[in-house]
Amino acid sequence: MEKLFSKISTTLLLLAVLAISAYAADSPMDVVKKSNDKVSAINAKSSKLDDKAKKQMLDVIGSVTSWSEISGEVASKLRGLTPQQQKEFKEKFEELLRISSVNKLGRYRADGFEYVEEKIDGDKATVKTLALYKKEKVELVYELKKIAGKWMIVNYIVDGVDTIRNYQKQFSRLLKKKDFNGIIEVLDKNIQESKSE
Amino acid sequence: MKKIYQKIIDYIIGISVRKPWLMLGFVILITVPAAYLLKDIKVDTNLIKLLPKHAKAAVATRELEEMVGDGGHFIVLFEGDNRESLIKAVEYTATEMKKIDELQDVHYKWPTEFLQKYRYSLLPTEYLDKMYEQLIQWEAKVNPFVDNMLVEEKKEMTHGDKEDEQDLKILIQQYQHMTEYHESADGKIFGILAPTAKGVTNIGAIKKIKEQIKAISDEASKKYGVWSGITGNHQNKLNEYDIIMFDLNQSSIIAGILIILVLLISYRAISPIFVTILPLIIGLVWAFALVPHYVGPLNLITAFLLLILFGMGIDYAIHIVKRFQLESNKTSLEEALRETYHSTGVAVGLSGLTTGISLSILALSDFRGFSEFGIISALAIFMVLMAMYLALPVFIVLFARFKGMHKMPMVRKRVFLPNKAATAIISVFVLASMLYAAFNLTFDYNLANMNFDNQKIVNVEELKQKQGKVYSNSMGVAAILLAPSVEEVDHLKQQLYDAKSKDSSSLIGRIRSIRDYAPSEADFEEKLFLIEDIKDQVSGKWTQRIEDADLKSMIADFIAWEPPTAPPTIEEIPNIIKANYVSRNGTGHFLVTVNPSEERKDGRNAMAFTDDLYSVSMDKSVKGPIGETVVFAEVLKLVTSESWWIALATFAGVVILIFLNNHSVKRTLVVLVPLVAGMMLTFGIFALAGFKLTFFNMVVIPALLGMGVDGGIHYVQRWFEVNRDTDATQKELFEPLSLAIVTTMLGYSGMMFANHSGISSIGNFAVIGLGLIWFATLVFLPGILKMFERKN
Repeated sequence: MEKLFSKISTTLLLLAVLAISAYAADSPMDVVKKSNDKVSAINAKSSKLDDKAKKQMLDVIGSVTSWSEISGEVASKLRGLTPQQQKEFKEKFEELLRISSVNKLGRYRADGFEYVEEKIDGDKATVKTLALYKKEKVELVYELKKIAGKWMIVNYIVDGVDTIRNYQKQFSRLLKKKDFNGIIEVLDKNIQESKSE
Repeated sequence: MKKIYQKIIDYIIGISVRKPWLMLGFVILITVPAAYLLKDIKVDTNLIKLLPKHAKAAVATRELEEMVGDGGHFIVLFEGDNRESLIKAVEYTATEMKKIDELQDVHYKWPTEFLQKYRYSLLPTEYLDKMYEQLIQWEAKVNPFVDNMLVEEKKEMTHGDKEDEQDLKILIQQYQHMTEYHESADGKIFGILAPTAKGVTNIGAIKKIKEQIKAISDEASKKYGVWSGITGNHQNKLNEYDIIMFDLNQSSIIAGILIILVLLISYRAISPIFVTILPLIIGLVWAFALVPHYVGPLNLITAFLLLILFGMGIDYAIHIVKRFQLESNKTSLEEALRETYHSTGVAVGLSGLTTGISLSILALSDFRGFSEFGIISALAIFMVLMAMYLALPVFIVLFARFKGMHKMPMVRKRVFLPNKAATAIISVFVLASMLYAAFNLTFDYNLANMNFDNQKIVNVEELKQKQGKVYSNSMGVAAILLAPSVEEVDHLKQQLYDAKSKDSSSLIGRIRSIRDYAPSEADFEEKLFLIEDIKDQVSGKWTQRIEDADLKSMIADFIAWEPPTAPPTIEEIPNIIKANYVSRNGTGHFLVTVNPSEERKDGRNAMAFTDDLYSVSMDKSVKGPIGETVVFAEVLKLVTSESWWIALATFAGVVILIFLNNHSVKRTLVVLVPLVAGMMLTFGIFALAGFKLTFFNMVVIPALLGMGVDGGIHYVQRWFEVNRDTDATQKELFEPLSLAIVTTMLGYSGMMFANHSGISSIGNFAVIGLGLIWFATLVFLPGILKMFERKN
């Protein structure tokens, strides 16, 4: 009985250690690194992504990126929207981000990455990398947030251009020219275009 | 009626035969003062002269031209390698030009202090908006994770967008590289800009100002060893006027030579040419002497009428002289004259009256291009007819006495008459032509296709290029509105912006006012926010990727520049800017300029834009709109709405007159055959040749209806007179009718070579039309009559 108990305890401890070690391995840098490796591996298989590859890509990026967080951030800065409109906008924009991200990662293929630094500040972190495009090095900073105990990417900053901020500026401009329905139309149009790519 | 006519004409013939010198003296007595009055004839090429006085744009222009002026200005350019000499030439010329009373101002230095202080804050808010939006889009391009949401669905840039882009570029360049003098980037060309004090429409007055400026600039040029030239929109007006005059002279020479050549071939003698031309000239002098008083200055279309009427009027003299030459074989001079005037004289009078009355229907049109054409044509035809009855007999008598009138032997010639099959084929062609025209004949709305060939003016391109190096090539103003205060300006602008945003198809584009330079506190604050946003945007690391050196330097300049804390007041704004937005006669009104978002030279855009402006509900205190696009739009609207009913009314007039003369529907229809068939063929061939109807050549349609009926009247009348003998009619009338139509064609032919494409389109249309009416009169009609002849 004692032996059996001891075996079970050892197994549980082992599992816990494994779990802890697995958890500890997924640092912000690891999250970024692993996802980049996986994306590169998918891209390496063919020059153009087929539906299966797109699905794999979406799974990879989706597992490390919080689209909801990005779209929520953009929506939060749009003035004059009712809570209902904000919700509708957030859902539409999230859909667009999800679909278009696959196309973008299929299109802009980096030759490699240099992982420069990782900074963690509570449940927020940044990972600074250099994406290599032929002879050019472009600074790509990932902003991450710990969501449900897991580091998730919540923003991409390319060469100083903040994805969330640029989108906020774009939608603020659009809101000056169009009403809310007009904005939704723009989003729908972009979703359709991304789907047909 | 016939008896009265015969009594009068017999009396005139009697005096002409018995006392020819007395009759000649009487004719000269009337003609000399008339000729003196011709000096008052003026030509005004301004499009507004084509609008009726009650037209909205015409009323507004009359009311506001003192306040707005015409934006007219002269630009003096100096070029040379020595900067000091150029500056001396500019200073000297500007000082001397300031003494010319007709000039409102003489600008040759930029208000650098003002521009340096306010620089980018002087950019209109929507330009700052556009700049900011463009920067966001450029930024988005750098980050592959970002989609560009601001790009409209593959929409092409509108003409207005392109103009705005160009305007913004020029303004930024100006603010960035400010020089003291108006000079080119390389400092080799200097300019002086001199707006005139009020709207100067009189071409003579413009010429006078130009001559004064030229004398000064020539002197400066000589004194300081630099090249000088004069340009500006007043100079363009002078160029246009010179081209019109060149066209008029060239057309007159071509038409005159050709008409005399044809008469020479026909008469085979010189003196009958004088007999034919002299009474015609006298009739035209009588008619045109009345024009300045009753009609006013000739417009772009009527300027060429003298030429057309010469070709048209000569027909009457040809018919009478030819008939006299035939009759004088058989009888005495007096009897021959009586016989000629009792027979051909009646037909000439009838066809002249038909043409004159038909053309006078044009007077009903609101479009002065039509109405004045109709009034002057009808007046001239009646006067020419008068001359045919009063002056021609005495010229025939005098030339006959001095053996100048050759008798024309009766020559029996072989003539062509189409058979039944040929007539049937022509009928099919006529119908096919009509159908082809119905689907293919289009209206050309593009003003650019109805303009002058500038190449004829020496140095015009060179001057334009040099001007472009110093001043931004003016994009002109399409429409101007006037508001009594800046508050009203703000309100008006808001109304215009609201109208623009409510209707997505609205063509209201760029709106400018003094408020772009002296905004309200709230608007200035908005500008400052935008400027801060732009500064923030261009401070991003991504801008390091920009390779364009000009853009880089502009960004650096923008970042380094500290915006002012308060906007300039209206008083602070320098005159060179303020003059464009404040009334010229000191009423304190402010100008709001509006341009369409699409190419305004396209008449459809001009009309839609004007409609959009007219439909904006503005405060009663706002005056206007006026401006060249509004005038162009109203001219086009009038032409397109009136042309067809005027043509129909003219045709109806022709039909009624023919019916009144013939008292028979059948005979009326036969007379109309060559006119209708000729018109159908004309439309078809015109479309086939790729020509289009324009607001210039539309006037040819009623004119052809009036002129084209003559042949049918003569032919059918003679056919009945000779007992429906088509061969005899053809033998007798083929030559005089051909001669009559050909001379009318030649009257128009000179216009075909005009440099003004609108004028040449009148020539093309009329020559093709008259040629086909000739064909229908002397080939198709005889074929039809031959069939009647056989049936009967």
